[in-house]
This record gives sequence, C-alpha cells and structure tokens, in this order.
Amino acid sequence: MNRTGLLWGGGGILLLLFTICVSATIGSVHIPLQQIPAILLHQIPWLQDMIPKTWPGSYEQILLKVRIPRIAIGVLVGACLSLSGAAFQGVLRNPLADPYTLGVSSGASVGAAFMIYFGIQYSLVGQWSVPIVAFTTGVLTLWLVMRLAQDEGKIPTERLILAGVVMQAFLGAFVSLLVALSDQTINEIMFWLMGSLSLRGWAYSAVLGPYLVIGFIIVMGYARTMNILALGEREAAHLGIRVDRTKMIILLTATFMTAAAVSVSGVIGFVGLIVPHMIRLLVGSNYKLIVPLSAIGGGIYMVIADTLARSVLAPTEIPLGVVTAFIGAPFFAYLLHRNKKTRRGRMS
Amino acid sequence: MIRVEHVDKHYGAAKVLQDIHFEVEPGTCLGIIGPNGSGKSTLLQCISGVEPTSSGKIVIRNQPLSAYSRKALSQHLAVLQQETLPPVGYSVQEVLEMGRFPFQNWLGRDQADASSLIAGIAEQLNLAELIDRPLHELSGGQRQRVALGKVMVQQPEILLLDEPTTYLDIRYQLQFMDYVRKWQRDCGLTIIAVLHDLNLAAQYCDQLLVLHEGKQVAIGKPAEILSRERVHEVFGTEPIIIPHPVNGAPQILLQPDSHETLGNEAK
Repeated sequence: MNRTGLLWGGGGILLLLFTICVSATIGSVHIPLQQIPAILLHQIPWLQDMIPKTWPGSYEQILLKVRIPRIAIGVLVGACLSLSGAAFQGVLRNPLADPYTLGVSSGASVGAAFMIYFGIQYSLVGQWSVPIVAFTTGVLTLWLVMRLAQDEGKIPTERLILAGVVMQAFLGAFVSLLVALSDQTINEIMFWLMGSLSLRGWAYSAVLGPYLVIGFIIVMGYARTMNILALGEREAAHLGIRVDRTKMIILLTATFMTAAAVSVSGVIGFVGLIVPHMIRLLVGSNYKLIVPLSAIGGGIYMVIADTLARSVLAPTEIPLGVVTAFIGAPFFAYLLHRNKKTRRGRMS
Repeated sequence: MIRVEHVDKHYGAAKVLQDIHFEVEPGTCLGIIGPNGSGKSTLLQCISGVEPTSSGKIVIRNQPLSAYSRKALSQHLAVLQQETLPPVGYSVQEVLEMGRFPFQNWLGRDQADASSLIAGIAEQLNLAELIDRPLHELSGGQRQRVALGKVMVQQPEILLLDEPTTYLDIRYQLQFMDYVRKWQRDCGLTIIAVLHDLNLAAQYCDQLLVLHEGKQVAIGKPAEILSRERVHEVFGTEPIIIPHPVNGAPQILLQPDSHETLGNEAK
C-alpha cells in the first residue's frame, strides 16, 4: 500500500514537472525544452554558480515574468478545485458532487458580474477588487446554503445538495440577467464566467498558495475518516466518528479553497468533477491516495488545458472552461470504457 | 453492564418510546421483539448513542452514556446494522482493518498490532480466501459476514445487533447467529439484539424484551414471554406455540387465516 502510494505520488510529481516544462516552451517565442529546467534552477541562489548561463536574457524574462507565473497559478487553481472535488465527493458520497455543488461558484459569479456590470471592477483595491468581492459573495452563499440545509443542528446530505442546487439556480438567473443587460460587444462578464488565467502575476499565486496548503493538510488529515464514511454515515458513527462535525469541517475547507480559486480565475468547470473520478478509476477508492493524487492531477490537467487555451488559436485565447470540458469529457469517457473492460475481464 | 432507566423518546409530539427500563447482565443476550413501528430500532439507536434520548438515562459500564465521547464509546460498544455494507471497492482486508479505527490515533497508528487479530478473525469466519476480493464482488451473505468480522475486530464488550439476519437466507441466518453465539461464549460478550424472527430470538436470547407501541410490555426468559396470549395481544395474530423438540425453546407456527376462522370471527 505504501509502495503503491509512493509510486503513484512520485510518478505524478514527475509528470507535473514535465508538463510544466513543456508548457513553458510554448508561446510566441519558442524556448527549447532542455533550457527550461536550467533557467529555473539558475534562479536558486546556491545553484547559480553550478549552472552556466547559456541562454539569452530575454528567455529568462519571458519565463519568469509571463509564463511561469501563469503556469503556477494554473497548478494552484487546478489543485484547489480537484482537491475540493475529491473532498465533496467523499463527504457527500455522491458521484455528481463537485466544488460548485454548494453554490459557491454562482455566489462568486454574482459578486464579480455585479462589479463588472457597474464598471467598478478596479475601483476599491485595483486589480484585487473583483477577487475580494467574488470571494466574499461566494462564502456568503455557502453560509446561506448551510442555513437552508440545517435541520435541528444536523446537516443531512440530501438537504445540503438540494439547497445548493436551488441557490445555484437562483443566483445563476441573476448573473444571466446582468449578462443580458450589459451592452458591451465583447461581454466581459461572460469571459469572467468562463474562466481565464491570463495576466495573473506572482501575487495571485502568493494569495492562493496558503489556501491550498492549509486546505490540503486538513483534507489529508481526514482521508482515513472519508474512507470509513464511504461505508455510510451510521457505520462511521458506530466506529467513533463525529459525522456532522467531520462533514462541516471538510465542506468548509473545500469551499474556502474553491472560493479562493474561483475568485482569482473565474468559474472553471469540470476539473473538480472529473479529475477525482479519473484518479479513482486509476487507483481505487482509498482517499489516502485519492486526495494527494487529485491535487497533483488537477494541477497537471489545468496546465495542459491552459496551454491549449492560450496556444491553439493564438493570439486569441479560448476560454479555459471551454477547454477543460473539451479535453476532459472524451478522456473520461475513455477511462470509463477501459474500466468496464478490465472489470469484465476479471469476472470471467 | 447496561442499565436503561425510564427512557422516553419523542419526535415532536409523536412519542416513540415511553418509560423503557431494564438491565442487561454481562455476558448475556437480550432480544428485543415487537411488531413493526414498536420502537425497537429507535431504542437500539438510543443505546448506541446516535440518537439522543428525550428523558431518562442509559448507563453503560457504570458510566452514563452521555459521559462517553463517540470514540471512547466505540471502543466498548459495536453495532451491526440491518443493511449490510454497501458494495464499495474496498477489499475484505481493508474493511476488517477499519474495525480498528477507534483504537487509532490521528496518524492512523494503532495502540496494538492488530494484524494477527484480523487474520484470526478472517480464518474463523471463513473469509481468508476472500481477503483480497473487493466488497462489490461478494454476495449479500458474504458481505454480512465481513460486517460481522469488522465489529469483531473492534473487540467490543457490548454488541448491538439491529435485525442482522433480515436479508439472509435460512442457512446464512443460522450460520450468522452461530458465529455470534460462539463469539459471545468465547469472550463473554454482552448482546442486545433487535430480532424480527421470534423463533430465532427464542433460541439465541437469554432474555426477551417485548415492545408494543413504544411501551415495554414484558421482559423475561423466552419460555415465560412467548405465550399464545401475549403474541396475540402484541402482534395481532393467532399463533400455535410448541416447544422445540431438541432444545425446548418455544417455537411459533404461523397459521394462515382460513375461511373457517374468518367465519368464526364473524359469529
């Protein structure tokens, strides 16, 4: 068990690093693949002397100022979303659950759409206005959904999902109204809704990073508990788990991570739903593996999607949410098909 | 071992349990019987601590139930539910290991090495050959055996059973109850079991508690409890009760309502 964990984890991290390097080569200026690790390692003070500088200074500028910050925020957003997705699916024991199940994304969208519609998206604190408002409205929505779902101090899963769906529909209508009313030819609200990672400097990663680290530690700490929750809530209670408290902690953690990710990148769909499922099809139902691998897998997936988004129709950018669904759905269908075949093979 | 003192339970205005009071001696098996909706399962959930009582007190090992944390309680008391384990992808071994959860710290380290305990239990329940198979490949009867194995790994002093044999055929019903009885004799386990099947209850329980509409009707040895009048009063059927030819436990023969008796009632 530990050996498989290390194998998958090590393989995952290598794949993530490789994806990052390949993604960094692509753009209006091509940078050779073998130079990218060298340029990056060169930035570490102690290693500076060991790696001779063999590349033009412009490469360094492009990598450090443009491409790597964008890749970094991509990894963080992807990891946050699919980690939350794994947590939601584990706690709600519903395969359709994703980070947006509790309406956080629509809450954040309302905040963002409101700011953009009234043209005040840079008014309060410059570029941070939309993220801050989106985060706040996202968390407020969660609070409302929790209040709605609560029943005598307990939060039954079905009520929670229904409350989330209702809230999503209601706030979604509100966002649609704002989109319809806005008379710009290129609808900025729509673009925010479909998600993008362009023009996100290092500062965004610095803000999102702590959410991911703390969230990961908390969710990972509950991995064993989520394994037992899969047997049913009663069963878990009989094994000494405080089910409602556990549910609350994991859902709140996952939602805060999601709200943070959405507020910097917009609503990027599909990642939180599909990456944990892919991981599950690959490694089985043990959350001690699913949780960390979802984080890594989400990072990889998002970097690939964003690379395609910015390169396929360059210089036009495809909305990220479109790409995640476009490449995710067929790949997922393939995994489902493969899983069915191996299962049949084992039975006969 | 377990003392239930004047327990009431109501949901809103609906009174589900009223003034339940009894005591279970260590190492004995108490069966709770009664018709559907008489509050059997609710009573069991109150004793297991997942449902709070509305009034009254439950004392376990000389400590009130409310003084236990969920984790501390699960180190002494295990519950086997009516629904067997869901068909998930965990292997039998993994599920058995989950029985050690109450004894693990937050890192997942156990207070003691449980691998030989788990292997022994798998052997005893004939699960050794299935140990690497995932649950969703097992039959209902096999899964219920895994569920029993999991609570055995929990090493409780008290076992609560909630109609554990409902979905099993007669062979597995008997096998299951025999496993439980052997475990009880080996380890001095105290059992409270909600049982649907009065004949099984009469053969495997030392004491029977009869519930009817949330009230305690009688408690005592099966032979004293299972009388024709009481079964008629509580279950509303007209049974024939005969002693078991081998062990003497009262057994109930069901008698379908024929036209004759319907006619008699009409008179």
